[in-house]
This record gives sequence, structure tokens and C-alpha cells, in this order.
Amino acid sequence: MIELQNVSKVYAGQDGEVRALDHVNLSIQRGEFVVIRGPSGSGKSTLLLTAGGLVRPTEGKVVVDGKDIYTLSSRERASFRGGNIGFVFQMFHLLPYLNVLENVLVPTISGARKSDRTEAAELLQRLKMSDRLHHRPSQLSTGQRQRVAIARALLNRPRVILADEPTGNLDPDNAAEVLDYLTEFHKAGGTVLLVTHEQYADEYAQRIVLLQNGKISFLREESLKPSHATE
Amino acid sequence: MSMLRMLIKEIAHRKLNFLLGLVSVAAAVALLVSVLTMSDASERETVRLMRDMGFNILIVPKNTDMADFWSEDFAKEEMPEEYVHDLANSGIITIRHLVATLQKKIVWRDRKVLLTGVLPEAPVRGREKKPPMGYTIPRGRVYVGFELARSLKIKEGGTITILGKDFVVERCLQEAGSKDDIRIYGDLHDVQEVLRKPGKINVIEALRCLCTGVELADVRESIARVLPNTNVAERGSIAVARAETRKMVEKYAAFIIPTVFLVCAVWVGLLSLSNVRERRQEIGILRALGFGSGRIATLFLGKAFLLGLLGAAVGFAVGTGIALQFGPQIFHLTAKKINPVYALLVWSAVGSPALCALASYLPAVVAITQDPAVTLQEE
Repeated sequence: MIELQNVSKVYAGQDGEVRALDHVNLSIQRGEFVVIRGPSGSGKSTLLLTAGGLVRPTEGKVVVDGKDIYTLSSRERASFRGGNIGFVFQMFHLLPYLNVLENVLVPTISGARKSDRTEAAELLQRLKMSDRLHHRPSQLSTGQRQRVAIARALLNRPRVILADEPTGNLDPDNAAEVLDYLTEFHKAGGTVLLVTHEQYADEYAQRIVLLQNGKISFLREESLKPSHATE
Repeated sequence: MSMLRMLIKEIAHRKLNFLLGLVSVAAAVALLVSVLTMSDASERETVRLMRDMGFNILIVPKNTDMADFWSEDFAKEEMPEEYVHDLANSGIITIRHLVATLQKKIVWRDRKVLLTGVLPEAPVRGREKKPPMGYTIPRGRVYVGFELARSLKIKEGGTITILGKDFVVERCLQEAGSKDDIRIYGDLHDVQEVLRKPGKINVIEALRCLCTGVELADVRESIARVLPNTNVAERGSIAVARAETRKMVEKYAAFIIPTVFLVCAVWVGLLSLSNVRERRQEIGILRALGFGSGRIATLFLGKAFLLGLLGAAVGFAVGTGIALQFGPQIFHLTAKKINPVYALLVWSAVGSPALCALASYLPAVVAITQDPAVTLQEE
């Protein structure tokens, strides 16, 4: 479904070039739950954003359903993201001036789907946020903010969720809860690509990939134990 | 959820940024609107003041000794009365209000008197009709200058004899503080008759047009084309000074208004850039959520557009208020001409958002070219 073919990403740094990704080859199948682990600065986030069509690789291709997404125009790629990919970030990135319900509805402005307040409210109810619909992000706990971010990622019914350290700012209970929501999405047939440096996410994954200095090495290629994903 | 709602909520959230921009735009629009609302009154006021000061262009026979002319205040040489009609019929545009006179210093009742025959103003062909300048004195009647009337105890309605001809005193003039106080004005043909100079005049008085770009050299050239046997002199340095002052004010406005708008545009641009920097992560997440460059740019240009539109409305109201409040104190004679100019609201509503959008263009480009990989990983 998502295939990174010989992908490299080089940034110009103060002390010369920084190679964030170094000839990465990775194939993610539909319905997989893949965890990408690695230390800070190993290129995990760059890999995730490159796979999501947000960062153009310096070389190589990102092929989704047989199409190199970087051959699409910026507008087509934005439309592709809006309709197929949900992003969840460590810093939540909720818009501070919108309330919870409005934050969840933001992706509908991109035109991928029609605005559906009822569906957004139901989604928030499932994520135990129905009593916070009209609160601002600043009035929420970090766990609640991440649940809103997940609801926002799910609203457009994406096929893939790309999650960048989604539990990095959460306590263990909230972190487990977030991973449960991702598992629920996976169980429903969605594909999850989770970037983290936490080992405890491994038990949710079917496949774990280690990234170091922009290079990839597979820890385990076959599905793990019939864990949360397949219970 | 709509883009407009999102825009409005963001504006409400970052009020200070928007208010600083709004004050700047409103001030620029208010300045423009107040100046333009009063410009008509300003122009008319200058024209009225100049007109009230009397004629400032003098056309005399070519061989007139100007040194004598300025010392005596009339030309000793003469020219045909037809000259004034030739000039009026030429359709000349650099001068208006043409009045032909015949003036001669005579001794009357042991006094030196300037006897002045005046022909009613000759209308210039093709020019808009305006209230005439100069005197229209009926035949057989005269106007007597203040000093003569006072010292000789001449009363209105009385009869005086000048060079053997009787005249009824139609009016005793108010004090002028000039040689006009020792003048006796009569109809041109009456004066020609008593001076035995039929069909002759020695000065054509006129008012120089305040049209933009018309200089004395242009006036001279245009008159010389019609009346080659004449000289043109300009009188009334105060009137010229007024015209120059008006020109200077216009030049100042022509400098200050674009300058204010440029400063405003730079200010709006900087505020917009600051807004872009503040919203770096928001731009990154919007990209991730499927917003293309067009929609991201629309967020910033749309905000600039709203800023310009609101600034135009506030600026028009403030500018018009200033003009209505202070205009009548500045322009006493033409205060009634100061009214709201609603066309300026339309122009402001079009121009101000366009200017703000232009000023925010570069910040919008900065916004759409930001690398989400960098901004989304910032804490």
C-alpha cells in the first residue's frame, strides 16, 4: 500500500548537510500496524512525514497504491492527504482559537468531506469527550487534547493513520488509552504507522522497524504475537 | 465549519495583531477620505478668495511703458475696444472674466481723479457662465470712490458734472485703501465720450485661470496669439501666493498620502509576517490535514482582505467625521460644499483590501513555503 523506494532526505545544516533518511526501503501493507522505533534525531519523524506526502524526499519514491505521490501536484497531494491519511502528533497541534468540536471539523474545510457536526460529536463521544465539545484546547488535559487530535485524524475516515510520538507527552494510562484507540482503528481495517522511541508500543505492533542515523533495519518482519491488534 | 468562521475565530483570538493592523489601515483611509472630502471646498475657497481680491491679469497696449503704468496705475497708450471682444470670442482658456476699461487721470474739483470707464464683462465663448466680475454701470450714472465722496460730501442720488456731462451718483463705494478710493467709475462709452476717445480702451482686466499647470508664460502666449499688439502683466502677488500655497498643499498631499499608505502597507505586511511566524505549527498541521497552498494562502490573504474592508469602513467614517467637524472651520466661504462623498467609501472598500492583500502577499508566500517537517517538530 505504502512503499518507500530508496528514499533519502538531506537537509542543509549549519555544519554541512544532514542526511535524515539514507536510502530507506520500506513497504507497508494495507491493514498493518507498524511501529518505527529509534533514538531522537534518527529520522523517524522525517520518514513519517515523507510517507504522508508532507516532505518531498531528496531522492527515491514514495508509492501509494501504485502511484508515486510526489509526482502529484501540491494540490492533488493535499487532497490525497485529506482523504486518505490521518495524522496524530506528540504536540497535538490543536488550533487554540477553536473549540473541541470545531478542531475535529477542521479537516472538512480542506474539502475532502462535507462538514458533519453529528458525526464529529459521535466520534468525540466514543473518545469520551462529549462533555467537552465547546471547550478550548487550553481548558483540556494533555490526554484529552490527544483524544481530540485522534478524533480529528479519524473524522475523514482515513485508510492510514500516521502517528508521530502520540504518547510522548502522556502519562502511562493516557498513553495506553491512545494506543487502544489506534488499535481499534487497526482492528477496523485501518493501517497504522506509529513512530516512537518507547518500547512499550512494541506489543501493539505487527511489525517493528528500527531506524538509526537515517538507515532502517528490521527488528521483526512477521506479525508479532496475536497481540492487541488481533485479539 | 467554514473558512470564514475559522478566520473570524482566529482574528478574535489574536485581537491585538488585528487591532494594530486595523488602526493603521483606518488611519490611512481616514487621512485620504478627509483630504478628498475637503478638496472640493478647498479648491472653491481658493477660487473665491482670488476672485474677491479682484483681477490679477492686465492686458495693455504693446508700447505701454510699464514703469509709467505701475506709477500711474493706468496705461497712457490706448487700444481698440474690439480687442476685448476678439479675446472673448477666441475661446481662450487661460484667463476668464474679461473687463475692458478706459482710465485717465483728470483734475476734477481741484483734485486728481482717476476717471474709469468700465465695459460690462465680456463672456468668453465656450466657457461656463459664472457671476460676472467688475461693475455694470448704467449709462448716465457713476460710482464714486470713498475718499472723493467723503471729502467732497457727495451723496448717492446726487448729480455731478464731469468734463461738461451730468451724471447721477448711483453708488458711493466703500473704503478700499487703494487708488480705487479716488476713482470715479462710469460706463465705458460715457467715459469714452467725455474723454473724446470713442472706441478706445487702455486696459483689459482679467482673472487668471487656476487650472493645473497654467503658468503666466502660458497666459502670455495664449493672449499674444489673439492680440499680438498687447503686453500682459500680472498683479496681485497675494493672489499668486494663494495659488502657490494651494499648489504647495496639493503637492504635500500628493507626497504625504502615498507615504502614509506605503508605511501602512509595510506595517500590515510586518504584522502579517508576525502572524505567519506565530502560526507556523498551525500551518504545518493544516497541511497535514489536507489544506493545499491555495487554502493556506487564503487564510492569510483573507484575513488581510477583512482587515482592509473593516479598515475602509472605519477609516471612511472617521475621515468623513473629521472633514465635517473641522472642514467648516478651515473653509469658511465654502463650508456648505463639505458633504460626505460616498463614492470614496466604494473606492476605499475596493482599494484598501487590495492594498492589504498585496502587503500580505509575501507573508502568505512565506506561509505556504514553510517546511512542515520543521514546524511540526517544534515544541
